[in-house]
Amino acid sequence: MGGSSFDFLATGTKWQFDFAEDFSVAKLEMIRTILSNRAEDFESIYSRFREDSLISKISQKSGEFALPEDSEKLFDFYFRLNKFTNGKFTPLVGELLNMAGYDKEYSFITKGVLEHMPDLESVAEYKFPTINVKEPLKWDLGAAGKGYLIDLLGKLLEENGISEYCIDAGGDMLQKSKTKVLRVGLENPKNFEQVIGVAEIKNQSICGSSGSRRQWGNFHHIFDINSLQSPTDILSTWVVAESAMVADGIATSLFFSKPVDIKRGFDFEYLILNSDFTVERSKYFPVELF
Amino acid sequence: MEESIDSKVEVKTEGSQNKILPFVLIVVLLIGIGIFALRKPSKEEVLEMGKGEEQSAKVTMTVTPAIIANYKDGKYVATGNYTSPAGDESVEVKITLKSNVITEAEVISKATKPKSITMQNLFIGGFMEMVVGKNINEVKLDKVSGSSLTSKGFNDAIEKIKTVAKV
Repeated sequence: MGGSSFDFLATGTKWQFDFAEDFSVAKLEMIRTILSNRAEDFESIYSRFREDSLISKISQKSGEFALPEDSEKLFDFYFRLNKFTNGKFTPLVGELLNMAGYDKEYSFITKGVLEHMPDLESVAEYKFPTINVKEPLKWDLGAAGKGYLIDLLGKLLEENGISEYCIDAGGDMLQKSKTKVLRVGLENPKNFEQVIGVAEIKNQSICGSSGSRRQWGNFHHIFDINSLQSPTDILSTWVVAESAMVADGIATSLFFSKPVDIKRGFDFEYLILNSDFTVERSKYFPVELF
Repeated sequence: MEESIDSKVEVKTEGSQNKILPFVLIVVLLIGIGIFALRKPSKEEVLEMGKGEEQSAKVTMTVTPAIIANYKDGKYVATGNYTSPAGDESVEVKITLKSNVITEAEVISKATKPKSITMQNLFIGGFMEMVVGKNINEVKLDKVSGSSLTSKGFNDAIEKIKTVAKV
């Protein structure tokens, strides 16, 4: 068995990198530094928890903001998925998360009554490379930001001559391989000792979303902006797509939008685990269920 | 326009099975539940069919997983034939049995008449699977995807709150 690996902490979770090749310690250390620096840069721009981040800035003040080069795909995706979910997938959920107590300090204390959000289009005019913010509201790019960072780091590996790898960011992953199929257990959200099935991916990403761990009071980290509640009829969702950003964002969206609506705009396979342990999945989701 | 099922069911198996007959009955039952209009609306999802005079039947879409005692693990394929108001039709059901539980099921429409196609697709689309889970150490895995490895800061904070809440 060849292969090498390393990990580091970023975006509040463990990032594990596995390689088919047997790299030297020195080379591993070099790659690790390149990747962890990139992750740090990314967080300093896109985290709503960093006071001087771009996301914090556009959350606080109206006006026109210049966007960095690497933001185009992410902003395009947010505005596009926003349309295909009838406005329900929105970065303005940051306002709700914050009001509900999922804030910088992790206070989990609800700050007053949750209110309905205005439409994304009416709050911000986006045309890369600028965004014109008309009303300052708290943004959060957490629903697809981690997936996008997975894609970026994958690209960075390829630019450094590494074509076979697996990036696992706390259960959301992207795998590239000429030969190996990756067997990914789908965690039972009610019993972490168990899996409810095994998905097999190759040169794809699989991302999962679940309310089970990040829970406080009546809330978890996913909100339906219409009901102002965290959905409870779905326990977990998994999405397989070519890009981790797409898989990540859609996994969240399946909690409040119909797969058929999202399918109109994106190419992906999905599996939804309902709270009664029934499963709904697309025809080609590559899974064996237990 | 009651559709009635006849007893012509061909079963092919992949693997050596001998106690097939009772199982066939269940397959037939599954097909029956799905395709034919149930007059009783169940507590599960009920879809209203076309509002035309001809067809106003309600079709229940949910099939609960069947648990059968003592059958050999394996893949089973069965073709169910039935007579619809439009003529003879069939539907193919592929099922994987593991430890007496149907772990996978696929229903393939063999219908040729337009109305039967609509009816069968309704059934196929609404077929529900149920999962029970399996211990991680019983399954060969490279990775696990879920929420157990979520933000450490978040988990620490929750733990803190739990401690405070206990007092």
